[in-house]
Amino acid sequence: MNVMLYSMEIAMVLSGLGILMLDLGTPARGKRDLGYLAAFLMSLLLLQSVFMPEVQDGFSLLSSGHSITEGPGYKLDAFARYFKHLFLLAAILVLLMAVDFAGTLRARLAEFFALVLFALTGMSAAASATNFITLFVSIELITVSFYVLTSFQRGQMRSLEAGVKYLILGAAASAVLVYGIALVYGATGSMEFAALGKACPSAEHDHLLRLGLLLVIAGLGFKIAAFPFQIWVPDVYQGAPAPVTAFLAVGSKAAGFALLMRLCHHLRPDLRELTLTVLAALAGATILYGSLCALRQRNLKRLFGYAGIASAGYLLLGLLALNAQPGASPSGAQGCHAMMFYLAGYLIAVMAAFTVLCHLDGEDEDLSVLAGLHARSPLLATVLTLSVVSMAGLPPLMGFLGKFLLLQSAFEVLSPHPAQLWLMVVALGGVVISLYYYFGILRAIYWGGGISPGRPAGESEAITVPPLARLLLIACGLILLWVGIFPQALLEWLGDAVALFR
Amino acid sequence: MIEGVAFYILSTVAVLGALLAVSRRNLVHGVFALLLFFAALSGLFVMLMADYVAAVQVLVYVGAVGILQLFAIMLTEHVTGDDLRRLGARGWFWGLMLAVALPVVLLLPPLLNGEPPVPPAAPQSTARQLGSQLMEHYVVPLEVLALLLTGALIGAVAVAHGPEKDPPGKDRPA
Repeated sequence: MNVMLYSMEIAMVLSGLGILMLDLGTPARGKRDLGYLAAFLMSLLLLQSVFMPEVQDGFSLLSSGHSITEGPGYKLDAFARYFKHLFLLAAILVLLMAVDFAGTLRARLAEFFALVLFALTGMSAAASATNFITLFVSIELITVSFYVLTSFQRGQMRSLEAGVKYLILGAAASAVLVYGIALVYGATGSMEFAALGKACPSAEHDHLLRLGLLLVIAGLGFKIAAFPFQIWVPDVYQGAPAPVTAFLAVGSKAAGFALLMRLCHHLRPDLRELTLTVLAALAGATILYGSLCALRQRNLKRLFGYAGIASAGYLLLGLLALNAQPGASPSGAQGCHAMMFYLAGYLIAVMAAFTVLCHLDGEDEDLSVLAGLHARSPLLATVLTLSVVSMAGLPPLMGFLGKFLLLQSAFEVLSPHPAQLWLMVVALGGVVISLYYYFGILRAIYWGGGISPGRPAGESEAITVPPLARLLLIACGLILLWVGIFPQALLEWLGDAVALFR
Repeated sequence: MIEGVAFYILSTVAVLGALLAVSRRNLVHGVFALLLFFAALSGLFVMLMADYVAAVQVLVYVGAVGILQLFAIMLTEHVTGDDLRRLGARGWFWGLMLAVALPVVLLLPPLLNGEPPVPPAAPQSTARQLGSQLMEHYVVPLEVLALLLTGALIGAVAVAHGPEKDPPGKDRPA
């Protein structure tokens, strides 16, 4: 076994444990600095992994004589690396957000930071998983960390309620997932994803395999918040502390999709028929449900929750393309490409939006707290506008190209399929509906002065944003614009990562 | 023949134990019913030739987990389950429908197929195989599980303790 293969995960765990140790000797006043330390360590790891990936290869060369990228149930390829970078970026932004949020959080900060790092470790392992054991164990690590993080503001009833709901529904989803894995194992006799590509010994085994696969998709559907498994989303998003909600919306969802992508990649052609139909139905229902429910929402976190459900639906469209028959004209690589681009844009937009939310006063996150934001803090208003417009998928921002690529890949794959027409109608309808609710946010920012009778006095107070948060917000806004206008660099970088799916 | 009888007895005990565990208002009674379920389950593992798993089931679940749960319950208030402090359950009808539909969907295909699967030849001792698999092939997932338990422990303490008492200017919420 080569330890260097797991160097990123080991670095994350050691950082988390180190934070817990340092906490013992840190006075209450200095606890926030632990968050800066954690973010700094993760930034170093990110920079090392992006700019000097050969360091790890060099060590494995030294120790074993040849470069190792694969261990049992674990693969460190360009695909895994890309997702690990996304998760690291998300975790860094969440940690910095949590430092600013510490006053509202009123909780044990060191444990909070450590649990964020543990959840990050789980996501990072999930990106590399190539068998069902690694899949289940990493998903559980993510979920258990989030059970705690969700209920961290335990002084607030709503946070506790969110934690309990997430715990119970999450446990039920894990049970479904594990039952599905057991059936798949019973049918194929192997825990590896690769076994899904081989024929079963008999028709009965094949039946079990199909049933197991559906249950696995259902269990992962809970993590990505696809339609029939999305019940937990609004309450948990609303009740959890804002940094946790952001991490849940981006990290947990991306990890679920990374696993689904690897899983679908190994499927047999006749199983692809099945998953194509199931995923098309899930995608349509998810888009419709998320968009329609978001229409009437006035609570910002719930609104982002429903919008997140809708975007899971769009990402499922990309997953459809992965299930195209091998040798079809648009290969699975195209769908994969689109999903990874969309996830990057979604990450930046969600993180920017939630960083803005952290700096708003007002406990209830009603749309009316945004009233007059453009006068109170032009920076917050501008960044929130950019992020919302990007999520709505308007050019020239990053979200536009992501959504466009997803729709394109799905429709090319589906073109011979009878479900194509209605799915196209639903997806485009979802885009139109999303314009309405996203522009509700913009209306609240710029024209929302008159609709908040409860808060006449504090309206004109300027909001001061700490320098580091200001820098991050500006960076997020610029990335959304820059990559939206010049996407070529990111798209080329993604070319390596999707080589697996060609 | 004798195996069939034993299977039905054990599974009846297990199902009854599980039903009692979720239906008792008194949590202590509930935990004892759960222990009954665990014990019957270990009997079922023995019948599946999984000697090691059965032993662990008794040691860990009947022994440690049950006792821990009793401790945790007795340290909290309102053990005897007064009806006032219950969550309302309005969706019981749909819950019941789901509970009926799930086994039908999951069990119908094997029942329709008839033909029970042929049991494989009994392995000699499962402990050695499990051990070598865990320590060689699945050692990384094992470590991840250890991290999971650490995280769960830290999280449980952090949530149970609540915030530290000395953040300046902020008093502890009730």
